[in-house]
Amino acid sequence: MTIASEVLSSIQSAFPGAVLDSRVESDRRLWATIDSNKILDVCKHLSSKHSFDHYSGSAGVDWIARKEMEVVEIMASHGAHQVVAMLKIKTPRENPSVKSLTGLYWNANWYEREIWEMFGINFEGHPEQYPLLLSDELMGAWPWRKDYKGYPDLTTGERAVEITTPDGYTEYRIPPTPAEVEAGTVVVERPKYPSFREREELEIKSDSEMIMHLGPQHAMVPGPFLLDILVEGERVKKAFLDLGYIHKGIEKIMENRTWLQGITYTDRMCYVASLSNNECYCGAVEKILGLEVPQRAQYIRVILEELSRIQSHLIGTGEFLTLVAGVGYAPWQYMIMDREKIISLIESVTGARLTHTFVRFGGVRNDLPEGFAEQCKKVLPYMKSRTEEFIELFAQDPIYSARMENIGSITPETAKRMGVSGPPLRATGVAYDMRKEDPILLYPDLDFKVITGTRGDSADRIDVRLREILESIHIIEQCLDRIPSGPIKTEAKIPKKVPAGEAYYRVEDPRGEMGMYVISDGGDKPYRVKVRGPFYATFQTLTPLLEGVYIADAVAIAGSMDGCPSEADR
Amino acid sequence: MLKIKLLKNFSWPLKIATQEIEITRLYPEKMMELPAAERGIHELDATTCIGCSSCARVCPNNCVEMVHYKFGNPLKNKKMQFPQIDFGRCMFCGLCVDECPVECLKMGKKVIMAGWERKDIIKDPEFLATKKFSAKEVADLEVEGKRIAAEKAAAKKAADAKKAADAKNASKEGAADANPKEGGAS
Ligand code: SF4
Ligand code: SF4
Repeated sequence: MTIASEVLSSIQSAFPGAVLDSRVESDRRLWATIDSNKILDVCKHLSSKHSFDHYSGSAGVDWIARKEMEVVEIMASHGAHQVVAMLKIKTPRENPSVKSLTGLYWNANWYEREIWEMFGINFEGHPEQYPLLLSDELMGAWPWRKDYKGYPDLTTGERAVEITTPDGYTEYRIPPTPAEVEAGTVVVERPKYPSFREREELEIKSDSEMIMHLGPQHAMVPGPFLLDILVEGERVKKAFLDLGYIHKGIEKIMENRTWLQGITYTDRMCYVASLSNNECYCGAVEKILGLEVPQRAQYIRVILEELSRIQSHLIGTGEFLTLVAGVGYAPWQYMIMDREKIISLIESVTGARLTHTFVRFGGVRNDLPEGFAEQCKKVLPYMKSRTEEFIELFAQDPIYSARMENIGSITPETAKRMGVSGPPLRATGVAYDMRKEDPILLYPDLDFKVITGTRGDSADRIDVRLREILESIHIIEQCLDRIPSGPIKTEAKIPKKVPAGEAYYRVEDPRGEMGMYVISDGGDKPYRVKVRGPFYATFQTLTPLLEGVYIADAVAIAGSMDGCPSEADR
Repeated sequence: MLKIKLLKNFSWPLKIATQEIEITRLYPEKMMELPAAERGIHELDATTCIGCSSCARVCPNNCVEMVHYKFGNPLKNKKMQFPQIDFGRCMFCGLCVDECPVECLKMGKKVIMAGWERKDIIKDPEFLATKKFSAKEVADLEVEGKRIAAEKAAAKKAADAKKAADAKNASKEGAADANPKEGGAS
């Protein structure tokens, strides 16, 4: 098995002088600053020689005091080894520009677009540098830079300008107002690029083609996102995606909140998986602080996260069935009915139904209530029998299989190249699960299988989710048997100011690989929090997947991904 | 084969129909049972709150404001400042509860807080307080407080005099600085 120090020495020997700075944090984490001219060669070397075939994302960081910007490329492997390489490339703050990795990794596209629109770092050779999350008005403001004054202006306290319209309404505008722009008192730099609609219309080649809108308001979508399909007859020729309808800027908000307050914001990225989000953020901060989590707290965290995975998979499956059945809410109700039991279990511990704010640095908020194990022992066998019923129901239903099998199939190679994770990846047969790849808490001691499918189609994705529920039940049963008594919070005092440092922490979210890159500059607030959400990666694959399918299948494919635009938009 | 499978499908609804599952909840008439850990509307024990405003500082949404309230404990809370919570913004995260040093802020099982106007859901300490003093008790406590303060002042005077007598060269200002602190902490 390759370890981090070997990877580092391999880069150093292949490209002398390319590594400007490096730190081997553990066998599984490598931090290296790479010469920006050599990044492409280093990445090529890593993917060919060390099977770094998983481009997991990239993060932009604005180091305003050092007058430079950083792009951090997060690279990992699909099971060949467990090293995560965090490769940093530096670029000056004036006219920042780095080389694009889109030529090497297909899925670098969206990550680089995001960095470009948020930080204004130009990516040389990027094929479509258009805004993705931001609206056109905000382009050029580079909102995630540290000197962004924003709305409300944090330095002067100045809020939006109040304008009374001719018909008597009050409008609020973020400065600069149109009048100011017209008068030329403020310079607004707006790069020229075609708008989303223009880009779409360019693709219409003949009179028999037309564009159909599925969203942002559509019965199909689990949250607002724009999915436009270019159709000819019943066939989808091309799909267009646009995000940003519920962009919350959580990463920026967290920079303005204390470390503790940040936990509440991780809940709100995706309320269905809020416990894994809590875990991911707290885990990263614990790593910087060097905190040990007491045994009992680890068990509680694992139990709750697995319960949360069960309810998330149930809601995902229910939603999907509603979409494909198109006959109303019958399947959804069965799933919700069962999910209610799980939610009640979680609520009895955390006190909240969806946004839990439960995990704390070095522990958890509450202990398990009395009688929790008994309650679990009542609910879990019921869940198990129900899930088995569901699995059998789907497996034997000829209409369902005719409708779902070989629809939206992905081959393992494509899935790896596209960077999907979680059930959509495992459905293709790649056993890639963070609980095994980057084990945290007590997952190494637990006995569970990584569920995989064979065909990678829509039916398989649902099947994998349902069988994962069984596996989660198995995990919880083990935990309940073994859970020790003891403290639920670490005895170490948690300082208000976290010492300077950085950490990248990954958890297996119900939707796939969730990672958080947290930087502290020694203050009472995070310097930067980058969220690598699982659905952002899966979302990106929708456009190529939808090409060439029937319109009716477009909904099924999108639904089988178990989407959460809220998390993609963060 | 296909027919058997189709027929088998019908067995599922039948099976479900015979199971006893709570499907509809008679909500306003019958409230569902909430667990002990429920994070509902805050409950303030005004008799122990010390007015430290830790809860106001930790709130991520800035929805806690310290306001004047009559029926608290004047001995512990000299300025009579108690938290008032804006439930229009509160997200029931419970950070304020965790942060309270004397554990006088809790979250209860009450969850209904609707109002006709925005200001109706800004709840003052009077609404939040589950434990408070009556006007008479407050008056008594104030008298008690004055008595203690008078005693303290007398003790301080005596101590000052003693100190002055003990060490004539000791700086008087220093002694005066140190003493009120002791009084405040008790
Ligand atoms: S529960 Fe959270 S949001 Fe509500 S007042 Fe307390 S700290 Fe603020
Ligand atoms: S409720 Fe608790 S934290 Fe808030 S002012 Fe009173 S004592 Fe302080």
